[in-house]
Amino acid sequence: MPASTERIVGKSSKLREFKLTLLLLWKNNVSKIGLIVIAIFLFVCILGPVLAPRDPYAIDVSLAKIPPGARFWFGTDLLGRDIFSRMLHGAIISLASGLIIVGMGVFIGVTIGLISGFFHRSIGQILMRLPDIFLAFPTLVLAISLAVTFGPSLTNALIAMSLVYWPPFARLMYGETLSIMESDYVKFAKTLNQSPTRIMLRHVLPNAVSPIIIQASLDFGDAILLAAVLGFLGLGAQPPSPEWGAMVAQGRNYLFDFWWMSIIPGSAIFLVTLAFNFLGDGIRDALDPNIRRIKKAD
Amino acid sequence: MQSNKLLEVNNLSVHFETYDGTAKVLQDVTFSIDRNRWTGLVGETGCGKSVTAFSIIKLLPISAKVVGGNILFKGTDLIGESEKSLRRIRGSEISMIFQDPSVAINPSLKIGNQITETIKIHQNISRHMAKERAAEIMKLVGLKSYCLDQYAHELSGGMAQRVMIGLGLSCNPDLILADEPTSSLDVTVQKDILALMRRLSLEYQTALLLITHDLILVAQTCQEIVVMYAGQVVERGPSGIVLKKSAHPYTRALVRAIPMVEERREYLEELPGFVPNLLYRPAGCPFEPRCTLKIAGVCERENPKEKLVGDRHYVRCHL
Repeated sequence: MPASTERIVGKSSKLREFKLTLLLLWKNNVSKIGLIVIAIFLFVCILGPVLAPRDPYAIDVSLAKIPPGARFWFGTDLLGRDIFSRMLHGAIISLASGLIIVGMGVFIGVTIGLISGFFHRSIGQILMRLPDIFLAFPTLVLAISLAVTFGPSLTNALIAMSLVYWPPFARLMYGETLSIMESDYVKFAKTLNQSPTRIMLRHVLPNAVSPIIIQASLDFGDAILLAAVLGFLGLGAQPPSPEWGAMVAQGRNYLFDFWWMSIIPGSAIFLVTLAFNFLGDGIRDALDPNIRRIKKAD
Repeated sequence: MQSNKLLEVNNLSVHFETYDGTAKVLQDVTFSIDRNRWTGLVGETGCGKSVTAFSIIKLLPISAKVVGGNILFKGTDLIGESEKSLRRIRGSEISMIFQDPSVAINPSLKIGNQITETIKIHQNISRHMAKERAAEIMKLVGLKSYCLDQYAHELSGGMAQRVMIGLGLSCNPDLILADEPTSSLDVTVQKDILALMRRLSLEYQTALLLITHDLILVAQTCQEIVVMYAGQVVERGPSGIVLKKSAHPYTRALVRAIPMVEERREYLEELPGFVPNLLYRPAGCPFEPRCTLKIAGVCERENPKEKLVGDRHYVRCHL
């Protein structure tokens, strides 16, 4: 083999694959929109508190209920707080909620699914009844009842939502584990005397990652929405926290007179949720080996 | 002096529990493998070749049960061995090479990591040493060292099979079970791989059990042949004798079915019929329904016992 081929083949193929994934996401118009919106959202999350023109907590009743305009871009709320500044401050709460919920969901779900799949003849049978029980309830109802039981606070709401979010990941991981356990490379690893832990972590887990990533990215928008719903119901972030869902709740009684108080934060939740769904779809397509192969050929 | 027999399989019977009943997949399988020799295990699809190999390494599926017999490896019975000591044997004393190398290597780990990890499991050496050893192995199996940084899907079938041989040999086993190692490769690559395996088995003093349905391959490479039919060993012995003076009608039929270049024949002889259903094993010789030489009143009633017909040449037939 000539030296030039050697260089191409040998160099970090992981980076190449990552670049290809990004390229595929960018080429797809739907996921491109998602990417742009999410980029803005992330920018707001990180720099929002710095960019905010006013103190999000400063109450001045004389400035209450001012419609959107040059002075207050998104208007002010009942207590005269600047909605634009509040939203800039609140973005990070949504992002963090989404990350924590999905992160915990993936962690619990993958752990239980992997162990159940690995020992599917013994403890797996018992362990996998757990997600069945959780899945028997509608997600939202279960999240609300858990959050009520724990008491209204952002931390409790996050715990409640994480507990609701893991079962699909457990089912997914369980199925993946079962099929990978039957593969020749796991059998081969066994003939080479690799330990069960090693087979679990080095052979099963890395090969099950791709469906988990797709599921996580599809669920991310849902998780942000669910966090906002709990905030709206008063079970999540408590006032005066500028959480978007809570802001929608505060304006809901004045929807016809002072529409901006609810509609603007509501639209933000809508846009971000939609963007994450778009991105999730895009990631699913981008990680599809068939589509990948065709694109690689171009 | 140690006995020359590395592995002895005596009267091994394995049953599978299925929804339709018990399938008697292996019945009274007896054969042995000598040190440093190649033994070919031939038979048609579903006759229990792979099950035999997996019984030796004790990685049978859960539904399978060893109901009788023993497997002596260097004098110790593997059937009764604890999982702990079995794991010591797997990989370091007996290793296995699979049929389709492209799916038998973990697709999401670099080749180099897989080799170094395997070495580290068996030998207590530093990561650096293991890496050096991995590079040596790559050289040994005729691959460039940059393959260590590649993934399985970046290799061709022949290259992947070389990696697998390298992995199998990495811990210097005494016995390699090769389950159709060349079936998924084309003929020229097949030749290279076999030459490589031959060279390495001589160098490392390794015995090899070649499981295949390719009789010519066995004739060319193995000193011993074990012919299986429907879960039984029907004939075994030194390969020259078994192929030239086949005593069992099944082996004869197999030999006759080999195409020859010198004598052009109009038709290739074939063996009519199918392998019996292992769920409903006939009482007599399993080959009786397809046999052209059957003795009426004997063959369908009684399963023949194995008998010695020549120098280390055993056959299981009433004739």
